[in-house]
Amino acid sequence: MSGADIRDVFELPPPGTVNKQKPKNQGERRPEGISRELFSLLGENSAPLAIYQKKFKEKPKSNQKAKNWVWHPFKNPARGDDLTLRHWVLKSEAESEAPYKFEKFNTVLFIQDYTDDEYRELLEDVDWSKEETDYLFKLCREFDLRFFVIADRYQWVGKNRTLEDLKDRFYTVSRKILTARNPINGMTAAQSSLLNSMEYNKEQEVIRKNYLVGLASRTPEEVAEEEALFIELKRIESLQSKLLSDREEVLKLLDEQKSTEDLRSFHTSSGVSGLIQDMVNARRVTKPEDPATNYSAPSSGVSSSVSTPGRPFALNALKIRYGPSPNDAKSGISWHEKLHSGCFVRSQKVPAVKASLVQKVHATMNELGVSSRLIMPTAKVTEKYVELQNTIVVLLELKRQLDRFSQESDIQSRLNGSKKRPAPPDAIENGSNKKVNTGSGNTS
Amino acid sequence: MSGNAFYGGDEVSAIVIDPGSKWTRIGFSGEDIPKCVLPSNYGEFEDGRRLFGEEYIYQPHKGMEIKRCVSNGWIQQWDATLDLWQYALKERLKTDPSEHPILVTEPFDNPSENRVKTMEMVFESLGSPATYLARQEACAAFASGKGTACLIDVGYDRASVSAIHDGFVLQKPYNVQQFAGAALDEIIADTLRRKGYETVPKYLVRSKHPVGVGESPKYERANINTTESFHRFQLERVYDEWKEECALTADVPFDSDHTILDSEFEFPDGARVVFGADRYQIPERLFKPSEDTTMNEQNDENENEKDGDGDGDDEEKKNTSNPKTKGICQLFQNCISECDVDIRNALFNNIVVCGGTSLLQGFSIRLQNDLSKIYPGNRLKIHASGHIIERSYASWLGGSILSSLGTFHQLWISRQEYDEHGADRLALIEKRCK
Repeated sequence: MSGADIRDVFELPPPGTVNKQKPKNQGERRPEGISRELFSLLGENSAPLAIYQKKFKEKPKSNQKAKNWVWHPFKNPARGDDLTLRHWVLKSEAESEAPYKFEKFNTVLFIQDYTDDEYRELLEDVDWSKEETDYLFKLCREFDLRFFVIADRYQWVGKNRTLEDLKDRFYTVSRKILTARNPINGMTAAQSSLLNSMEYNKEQEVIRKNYLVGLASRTPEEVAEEEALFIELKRIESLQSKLLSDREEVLKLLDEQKSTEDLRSFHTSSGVSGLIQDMVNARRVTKPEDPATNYSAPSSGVSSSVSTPGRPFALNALKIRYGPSPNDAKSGISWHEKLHSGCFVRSQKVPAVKASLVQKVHATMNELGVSSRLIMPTAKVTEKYVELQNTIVVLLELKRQLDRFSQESDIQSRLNGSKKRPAPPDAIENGSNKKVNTGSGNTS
Repeated sequence: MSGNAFYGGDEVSAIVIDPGSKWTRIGFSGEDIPKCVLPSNYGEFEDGRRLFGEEYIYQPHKGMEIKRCVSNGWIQQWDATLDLWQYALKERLKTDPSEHPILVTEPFDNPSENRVKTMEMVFESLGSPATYLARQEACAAFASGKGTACLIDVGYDRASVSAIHDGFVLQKPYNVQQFAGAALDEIIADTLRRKGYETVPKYLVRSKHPVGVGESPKYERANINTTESFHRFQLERVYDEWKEECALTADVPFDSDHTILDSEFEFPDGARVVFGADRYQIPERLFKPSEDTTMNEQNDENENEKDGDGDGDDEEKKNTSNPKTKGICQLFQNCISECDVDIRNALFNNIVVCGGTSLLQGFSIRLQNDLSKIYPGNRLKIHASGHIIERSYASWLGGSILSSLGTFHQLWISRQEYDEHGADRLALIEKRCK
């Protein structure tokens, strides 16, 4: 196939003609006077625009109109004078002439006032002059009964008053005046509660304060010592309680008297089995702790006095071992791992076999001539039955394993046999060896 | 403002003035920082002209002496203080004091004459309609939002421990001593002198060249002649920088076994000096003023220095240490032991630390450790704000909070009351400003 023939087939022009044709369309011609760069930006050739999003936040939209605030002068009715201060308020509030909203916080504590006559009659005191009492009450009003501050700022010539002194005098005076003006029977609820609040026991307060001072002025060593003592006390207490509880357990086991409980609960079989269960559990709990209690008993002096006088017999009892003994079967005592509560049908409590094996087990039993349903399920019979069942299960399992391995060994031996055609006499032995070895469970 | 909470504020555009020994803070109530913080020092020329504000008094003007308005927390120079406040109000805050109630703070042990004089100055010279004198200790507690607190204030001239109960400063537990930032400055000056180094403040350095560690500095000294007080004033700025950068408080009492971290400090003249044990020993003096007494004493002399038209320059009388100087923890112990047992627990739970010098690195941790050792059984909670502004300006902030509360406005002393009590102004103050 030559090039010429191909060209004929496709009707292509001869090779020389292609280059001569120039694309005449240049697009737009740029007009005179504009630079090339400028022209490339205009009109058809414009550069693609970069669009910038406005990055400012949206103007906050509020449905409300702007509120009008005024710089408004105000007077505080809590003040005695005419001081006029100014603050910003909403125009509506300013025009409404509302009272100054902080006025209500000017609360004054109610402090009794007494007349001179009352003082002479009721309140005379050797230790307190009238002037001093007046001074005290003035301070109380000034500082709104903050006794710490009052005691701190109290200055009376020649007298050194403690906080308790001041409080005592104040409450005594107030109580006397209150009771004098309102006889106890005729008091209103508010007044009697006020009277109750004025109870003040000076001696008690002084003792309490001295105690606190002592507590506060402990040295670091004393604090550490106290803490150590406290921990020691707690330890002793806990040991003592443990020992007491152990003793209780032992007594319970021996006497087995739950005399506090209603005996009727033990008449049912469930009650009895419950009791037995408790005892078993209690025994289980005490057993591992025996060496522990025996060890700790001598360490705390308290415990030895607790255990010895009452029941020396009890300590010996701790050493008795519980478990099956050869005389049990004669006396009818039997030991079980698991006890069932309540009445139950013995045949139903026979342990079930795996579902996959059930059919085979029954089949095996039939072979042996034993029916799968027990006719007379006494204790001994069911025991034997369960034993038989377990043995059958084991048998079946083993059989299954054996079948599996013998199959595998057959395949292996056939494979080996086919490979080693000119078989030395050893091969067969190997094969037989292999057969024997498959019992161990590893395929070669 | 939520719907249910009742907003307790009611701003009446009061002005809060908090004069400290080193800085004076003036601003509007309700704001969270004072708009105008000026040094409490002023520059005075021979002809009586005065200059206020950092940009003026930090410049080495010829013949300008630097003097102090406030010393030991008490106003000493009254007309200079008035000039300072008027400058701040008119030029910096651009307000007319006659339109605003003015709250002025004062320390708890402010002498009675000072209190009367302050009130007179506010009413008569500034022309304000109402005033109140608030206790700086109570205000500092309010700045932390506490009405009951034990305040540890370590400032420039004084370090104080005070117990505040329900907004009232308790008198008997109030402990103060004049051993704080200024004393530390003296100790630093001593230390540098002993090291054989002459501290050159910035204004004397025209240009400097880098040198290696420990080498003598290479700089061109400016040919400026200024007064001794100006020079000392500028030296203090260098010491302030040293305290901010180098000083480190050990978290257990500093002894020879303590690990020492060296730090290099570059002085304004370019000298680079390595400081080791000094870093710890200098702040340690706040906790353990040592036994070596470099003598200048008396607290008593300073107490007599009350009226102020004379030269209040008592820099020589600063305590470096004298046998009576106690550590901060000792002050705290004295305070607590004077308090009633029943409030001690409340005080332990609300220990507030404030004051510029308390910003020393490691100060609060050391305080916590020392106090826990002294009071092992008790639960101590120390509130030391991490914010520089809150620590340094605590009393101003409290004043701002206080004067913007709605319930405070019945406590102002108005001009009317002032006029009525013409004769007995002290009684008026003592009754109203407790």
